[in-house]
Amino acid sequence: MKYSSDEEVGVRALRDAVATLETPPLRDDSFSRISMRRARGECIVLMVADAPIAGRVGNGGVVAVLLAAVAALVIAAVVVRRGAGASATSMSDGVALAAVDSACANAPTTVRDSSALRHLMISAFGVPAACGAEPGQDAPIAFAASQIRPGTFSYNSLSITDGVFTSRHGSSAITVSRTTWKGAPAFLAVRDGPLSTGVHLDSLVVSADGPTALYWATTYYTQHPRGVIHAEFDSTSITIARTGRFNTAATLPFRMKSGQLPFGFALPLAIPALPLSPGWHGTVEIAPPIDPRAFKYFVRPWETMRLRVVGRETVRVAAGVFDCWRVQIGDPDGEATMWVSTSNHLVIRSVSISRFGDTSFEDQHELESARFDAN
Amino acid sequence: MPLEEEATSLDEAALIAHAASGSHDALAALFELHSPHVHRIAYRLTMSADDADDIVQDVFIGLPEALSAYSRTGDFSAWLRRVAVRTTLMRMRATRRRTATAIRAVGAQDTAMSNFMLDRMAIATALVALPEDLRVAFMLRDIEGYSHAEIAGMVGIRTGTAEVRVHRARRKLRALLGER
Repeated sequence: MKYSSDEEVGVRALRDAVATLETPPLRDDSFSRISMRRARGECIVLMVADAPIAGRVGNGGVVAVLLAAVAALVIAAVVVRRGAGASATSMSDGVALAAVDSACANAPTTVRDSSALRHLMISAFGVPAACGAEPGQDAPIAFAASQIRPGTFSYNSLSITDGVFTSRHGSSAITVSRTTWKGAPAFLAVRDGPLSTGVHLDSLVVSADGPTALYWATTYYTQHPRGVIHAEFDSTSITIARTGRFNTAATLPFRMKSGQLPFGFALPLAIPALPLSPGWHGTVEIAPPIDPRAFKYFVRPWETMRLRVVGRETVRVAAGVFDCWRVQIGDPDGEATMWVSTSNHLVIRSVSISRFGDTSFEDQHELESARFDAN
Repeated sequence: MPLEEEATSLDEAALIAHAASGSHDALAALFELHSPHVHRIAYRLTMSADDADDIVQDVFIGLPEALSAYSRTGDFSAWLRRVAVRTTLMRMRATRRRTATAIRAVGAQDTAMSNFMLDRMAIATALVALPEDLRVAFMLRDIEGYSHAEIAGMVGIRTGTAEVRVHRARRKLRALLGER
C-alpha cells in the first residue's frame, strides 16, 4: 500500500505522539503473585508457535453448558472478580447496576443492601433470590443420602480456550465429614484450593437427609479491585462483606430449597446421592455464578442441570481406573459430560465445552485422589 | 546472593536455562529484565492497566515451560515480545471485554494542565475509542514495528486485511485527534 509523503509525515507524527504515552506502572507485587500462582500449581501454556490466533474454532451451535460442579467452582472466582468490580465506573457496570435496580423494583421483600452488593448477589444467585423471593415449592429431588461417603477428594482442572490456550489450575480438595448442625445429623463439606484466580476457602453444611443447605461460608480474594469478599448463609439470610478498596456489608433474605447447592458443592454432595442406573434421567439444581452482564440469565436464578445416563465406560484418571456411568448434561447434543463411578458414586471426570461467539471454552476436571474415611 | 547481584552475574542465556529448569530466582531476574516490555505491549494493545497486569502474570507463569520452545539462538527479547502479543490477543479474544479504561473528561479543574498533558489525554482517549481490531493493527505495525505479514500471521487474517486495518486505524486516529 502506497502513501503520499503527507501521509507518511502524518503517520510519523501519529507514531511519535502515541510513543509519548506512558504505560501505567506495573503492580509492585506482580512477581509475588506470579510466584504464588505457580506455587499453587497453576500452569499456563503460552502460544509460542507461529500459529494464527483466530479461525481455529469450527462452527457449531451455542451450547448453554449447565456447569458441572467443579466447573462452576472455577468460574466462580472470575465472576466474583467481576462482581467485585461492580462499583467501578465503567459503562457496562453502570448498565448492570441499573438493570439490577430495575429487576428488584417489584420484589416482594425490601432489601437493605447497596445496589452494588445486590448486583453481586444477582450475579451469583439470580434476581428472585437476591431480591428476597421465596423459592418454589417443587417436590424435593429423590436423593440417596446414604451414598454420600465422608472422605477427602482432590480434583485437578484444565481450561482450554480455542483449543490452544491452555491453563492448568492447581488441585482443589473437598473434604466431606459427618457432623451435627443444631442437634440434627448433617454433612460438612470444606473446599480448599486454588481457583483460577485468588485463594479461597469455603464450607457447607447440609442435612444428612438430603442435600438441603443449612449453612455455608465462602471467602474470596479478589484482584480487581484488591480485596476480600466473604459471604455467609444461615438458613434464611445471607451476609456479604467486602473489605479492601470497598468496605461494605449487607444482610439479605435468602432461601434455598432441597437440592439447591451453591457453586461447586453439587459435586460431592448431590451427584453421589443420585440413584444412577441405565437410562436414569433427572435434574439437579445448582446456583451457578453468572456473569452479571449476561442480562438474559437474570430470570434464571437456579440452573437446572438435566442429567441422563447414556452409557457405561471405564475411565482412567490419576486416582485410578473406575467403572463409570457416562452422564450427559443438558441437551442430547450438548457438549457437557461427566463420568460417575458405579461403585463409590464420585464424579471421576467431567468435560464441558461452551462457546461465546466464535470462541470456545473447554473445561476438564479429573479426580486426582480419593481417600474415604473409615466408618 | 541478592537477586540483583545474581541477575547481573549471569548472562541472559544462563538465566533462560536456569528458568527453564525451574529456578525461581532466574525467573525473577528475567521478570526484572523483561516485564516492562511485556507490560508495555500488553497495555498498548488492551489500553487497560488491569488487563496488562494480568497478561504479565500469565506470560511469566507460563514462561518456564514455554522456554523449551525457545531456540536459544534468536533474540530472546523479540521472542518474548511475540509471545506477549499472542497471549494478549488470546486474552482479548477470550474475554471479549471492551476496555474499561476510565479517561476522565477534561473539566474546569484541568485548565491548569499543560498542553502536553492535554495532548496525551487526547491520544489516550482516541486509542480507547479506536475499534479493538484497528488498535491492535496500528500498535503492532506503527509502534511495535511488525510487518503486515507478521501481523496477519499473529492475528489470523490475510496480509491485505492487515494493511487495510492499519490504514483505517491511522485515518480514524487522525480524525479522532482532529475532532478535539
